[in-house]
Amino acid sequence: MSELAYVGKSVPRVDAPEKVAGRAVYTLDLQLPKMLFGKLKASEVPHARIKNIDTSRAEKLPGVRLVLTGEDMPEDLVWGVIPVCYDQIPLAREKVRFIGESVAAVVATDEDIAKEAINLIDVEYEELPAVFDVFEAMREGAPVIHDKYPNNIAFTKHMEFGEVERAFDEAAHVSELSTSSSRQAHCCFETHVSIADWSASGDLTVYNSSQCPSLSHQYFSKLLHIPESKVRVITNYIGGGFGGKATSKFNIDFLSIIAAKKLGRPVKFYYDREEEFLLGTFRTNQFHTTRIATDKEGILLAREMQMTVDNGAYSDYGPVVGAITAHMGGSLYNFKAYRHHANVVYTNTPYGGAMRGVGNGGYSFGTEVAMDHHANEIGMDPAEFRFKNMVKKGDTTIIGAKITSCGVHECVQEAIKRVPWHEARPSSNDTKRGYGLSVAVHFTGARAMGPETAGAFIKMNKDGTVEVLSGTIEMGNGSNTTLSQICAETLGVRVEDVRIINGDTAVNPYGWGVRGSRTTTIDGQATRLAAIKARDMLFRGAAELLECDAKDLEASRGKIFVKSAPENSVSHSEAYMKLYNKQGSEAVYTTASYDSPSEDPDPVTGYGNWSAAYAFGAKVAVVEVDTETGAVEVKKLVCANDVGTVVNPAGAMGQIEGGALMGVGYALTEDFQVEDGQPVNPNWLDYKLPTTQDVPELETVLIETENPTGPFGAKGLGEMAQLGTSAAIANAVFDAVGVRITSLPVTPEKVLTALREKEAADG
Amino acid sequence: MSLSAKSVVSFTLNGEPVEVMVSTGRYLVDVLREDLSMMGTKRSCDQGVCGTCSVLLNGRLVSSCLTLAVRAEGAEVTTIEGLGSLEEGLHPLQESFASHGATQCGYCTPGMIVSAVALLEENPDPSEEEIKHWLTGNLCRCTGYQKIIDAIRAVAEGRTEPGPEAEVEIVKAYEE
Amino acid sequence: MAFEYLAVKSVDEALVAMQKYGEEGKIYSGGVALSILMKSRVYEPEAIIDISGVEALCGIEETPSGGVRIGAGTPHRDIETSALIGQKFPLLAEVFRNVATIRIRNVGTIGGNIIFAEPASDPPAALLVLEANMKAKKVDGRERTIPASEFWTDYYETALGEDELLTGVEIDPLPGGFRTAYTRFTTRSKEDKPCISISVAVAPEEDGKTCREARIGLGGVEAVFRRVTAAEDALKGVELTPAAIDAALSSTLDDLGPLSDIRASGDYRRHVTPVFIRRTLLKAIS
Repeated sequence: MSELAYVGKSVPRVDAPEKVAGRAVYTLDLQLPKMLFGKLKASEVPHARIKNIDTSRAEKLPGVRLVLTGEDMPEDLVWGVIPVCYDQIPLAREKVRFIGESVAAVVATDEDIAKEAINLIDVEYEELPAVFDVFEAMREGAPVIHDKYPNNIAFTKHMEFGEVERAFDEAAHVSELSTSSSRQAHCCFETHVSIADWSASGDLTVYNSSQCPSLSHQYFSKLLHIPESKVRVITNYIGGGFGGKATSKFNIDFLSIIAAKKLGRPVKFYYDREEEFLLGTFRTNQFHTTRIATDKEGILLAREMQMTVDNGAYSDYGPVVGAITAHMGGSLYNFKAYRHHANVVYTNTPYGGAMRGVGNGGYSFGTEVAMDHHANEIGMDPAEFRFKNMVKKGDTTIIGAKITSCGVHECVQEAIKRVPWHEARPSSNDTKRGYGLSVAVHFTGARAMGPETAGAFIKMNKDGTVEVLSGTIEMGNGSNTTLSQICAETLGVRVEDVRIINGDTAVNPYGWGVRGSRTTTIDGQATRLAAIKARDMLFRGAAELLECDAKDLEASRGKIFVKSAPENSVSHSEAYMKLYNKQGSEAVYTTASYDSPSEDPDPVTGYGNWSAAYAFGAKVAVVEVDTETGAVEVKKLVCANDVGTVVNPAGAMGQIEGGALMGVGYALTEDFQVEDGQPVNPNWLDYKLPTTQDVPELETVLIETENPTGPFGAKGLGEMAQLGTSAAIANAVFDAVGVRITSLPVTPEKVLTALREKEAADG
Repeated sequence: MSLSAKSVVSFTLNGEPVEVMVSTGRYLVDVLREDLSMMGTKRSCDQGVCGTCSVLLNGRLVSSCLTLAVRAEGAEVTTIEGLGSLEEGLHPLQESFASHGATQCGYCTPGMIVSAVALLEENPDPSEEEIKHWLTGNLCRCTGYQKIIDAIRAVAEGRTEPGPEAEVEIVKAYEE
Repeated sequence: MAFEYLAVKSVDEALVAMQKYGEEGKIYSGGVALSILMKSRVYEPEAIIDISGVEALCGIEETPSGGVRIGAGTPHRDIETSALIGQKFPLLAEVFRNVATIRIRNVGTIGGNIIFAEPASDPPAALLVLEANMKAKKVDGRERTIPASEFWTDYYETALGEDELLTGVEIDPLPGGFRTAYTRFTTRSKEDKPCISISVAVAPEEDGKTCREARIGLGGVEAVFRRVTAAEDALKGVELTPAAIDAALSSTLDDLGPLSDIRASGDYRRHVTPVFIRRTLLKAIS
């Protein structure tokens, strides 16, 4: 292939003009004629039997059209992420299981009336003993949250390869470290929203803010027993997702659908900021104990992790967190023996879910702090320790991951090169500087929950412009731009002649949406394959016009030309019209569906090449620790990412910078606290996101590898962008002052307490 | 002036006179969005923290979620839609945000741009530190802010296209 | 929610309205904290008395003593950018530059800030060390001066009566030789309210090192803003070196009753407050 026209170029975002003009339409902006508004009544107790819900006062309020309770919901309306753990319901039935759980909903002519009516609903509870701590929840005699799970363990994942205990017995050195992570909220700027509208003929349209319109479509149809042809899901731009709007947050969808059906008018429900914390999920909090064994050269022999995931009161992505981290752990380092044991445990707290790296955020903190700890224990440079043990291209890991492209060694090399890694750490009386490293792997195209499908339809217009109907959506990740580039490159049209149409299940192909670092690769492949079909059709028309063989043709930047004589060219429009303006005319519509070429892991052992590709990254943090106050300032963060072939460098940089800062927030400031079941800070006055003044110097390096399964060699990036930041910062704190902070976030108070303890211990 | 529960409020919105019947407890952001269908101004935290609802009230940058709509009486209100448009030309800051990739999901973008307009109005050549200090109250979850800061600096320097700072370093994997 | 909305034009009009509505009327100035409390239905007032149009309550002017009078309804931003403040009280200019965010500073007022009396706030500690006087007017027209040292009385409580309107804050010039400094420490994002906010005014002897007089105001540390007078006394005559300051502070902050909140525990605040006091004193004389 000749030089690429668009792939690898910083093509400006196609969605930028309408966004900067304030004209981009989000679901929260939609107003339908005669639309009614819904509001939710939240439980004020963490665990109770519902004795009675008196809705009579609310129903009498003028403007109130409907009051719903759990009793009004179909009994079989129960869902979740993985079928064995289905337990989510739109409104509490018989019992409430956390503070904030919805117990009733009101639909009224305006929002103020709906809010007013919520306060008129009287709920009588019989309080039950509650449990808020995962370890207490697993104890004999703990309050049972779901009858189906008498020990409160929603899900267990065990994966083991090699002779684990023997490896520990024979090791030259064994380390053990316990760590824990916090609840990080997605803090999408647009909160969850759903508007349902039934036509007179019984067709349902739902406008929601889901990252996965096709999955919404599928769930609504299946759970409400409506044929898929009668359900249409429309998703406009969404104001951030980060995993929080993936798959399963259907509570208000079902309420708007059921209410709209009863009332014959469109109904809109959305979460306010507090509900977004309580009902919109967050990054699950986790607890880990990691044991690591090495031989006398520092080669890893075994690693064991005992992991406990706080599921909260219902199972969203909690079970996936427990399961998928087992695979991640076995895809970054080579081990002779490996064990991952995860319990996902119910507590009477709001439930967590997936957030930018499903499980891997908390997990990679735990495991990479433990790796740093081990390197320190054996007196080895943490980078050197990684170099000795990280996977390389060509490896098949202990869990069966086939590493077909790998830039992780280069990531570490290039990252440490950008700080004075091997030099003495500068310090003054009360500040000490330190450097910390972490590495991470994330999947791109994992068959974590079955087929990992993407679809694309290419609709060629007669003037040579193109529409790509894609099964994914744009949530800020830049996919409409990268898919345009992939289409333009493949089809040989100009990038400005490509338009991406998505977010309408009645029009777009089935696809798994924007999640799991899959859009550029999996949707990109679907787009590329459909574009190849369209190009091949056009080449037939062009070959007739240019009187040559179609296989001698090439197309680029809006021209189809003879490879050996580029001056002999026709436009895409001319080629199309040649096919079209004749007997037996052909219209150029092509379709492609693409499933990730990864394997379903063995159902018993978990062995298998679980992801189509493995994206790697390394982060190096430079911190300054104030030894008198424990305050940590991140001075610089180097982010080196193995992105395969970069499709859009500026877009990749934007993802990495944003992800890195989200990681800084996770490391230092963001902590959704729940004390004795009571949410402490479910709003932005009390939950703090990093600001412009909290941004360290960010240095991005893209490491290009060739991913054989990705379009043009590309790999996923979105989640890797965030991963590892918290561990790099915690490891840098250790490097600076010699204290190991093992829980997130790394607050000044934790650092100071650890420093005082160290001082006392050192005498 | 004394207004009872529901009253007519008149103000100038992006240069056009508007009259709207509001309840006294309503906030400007809700009136803009729900009564006047001006959806460019976003609402997110609803507590004056995030800056997505930033508008100019008589030229002064405010959170429209903390501004009672009745307070707009007689005032000039400028929203993102009043700064520039796709039809009549974007404001240089809008151009610069677009070309710098300073918008991702885009939900913070209108407030961010309105805030930046107010900054350059007061301080046409702000340093990076001054930009960071000013924008502390405009949160963004997607970009990590650097491209936003670069986009504003560019306009201060009289351009809207990215400079060399936007170049990203690409290193080929050694083995491949 | 709906209420009577009264945009008053004079102090007298405001007082009349206050008398009329009593506890059911809320003074609305910048409206920042009040809006948030109304949205969460902590307050559901019958009437809002908007004083933002009262010219007599806005603005900064020089007093005959050479100090300043700041109208209670003056936005933070106007104090931050006032040339008069910058020249006479650089401490205030710096403190007000760091209150919340630009949008809040544009509307939030000094009066609103000090009356709300939220412990995690910056201006009160500065007003304490500047020995500001709060001017209030009762509904019956009587005026009262409340010294800053008596203004904050409890957690979110002030000495201002329900029937009193805060009209302004008067600050006399600091006696000669005082130097001021301020430290704002946040434990989370930079936009967070301060975990600890310390303002100091210190007058060294002619040698430039020995402390003649020190004033230290604490914000964020305890439920009530206050000066740490025992520490101030202990610093008199002490050479302002880190070790000597630490020695003077070590025994004089025993009565600290620090808050525990989402920003830090009381134990943490107890431990680091002397560190920040020392650093702020050293900054003042540097």
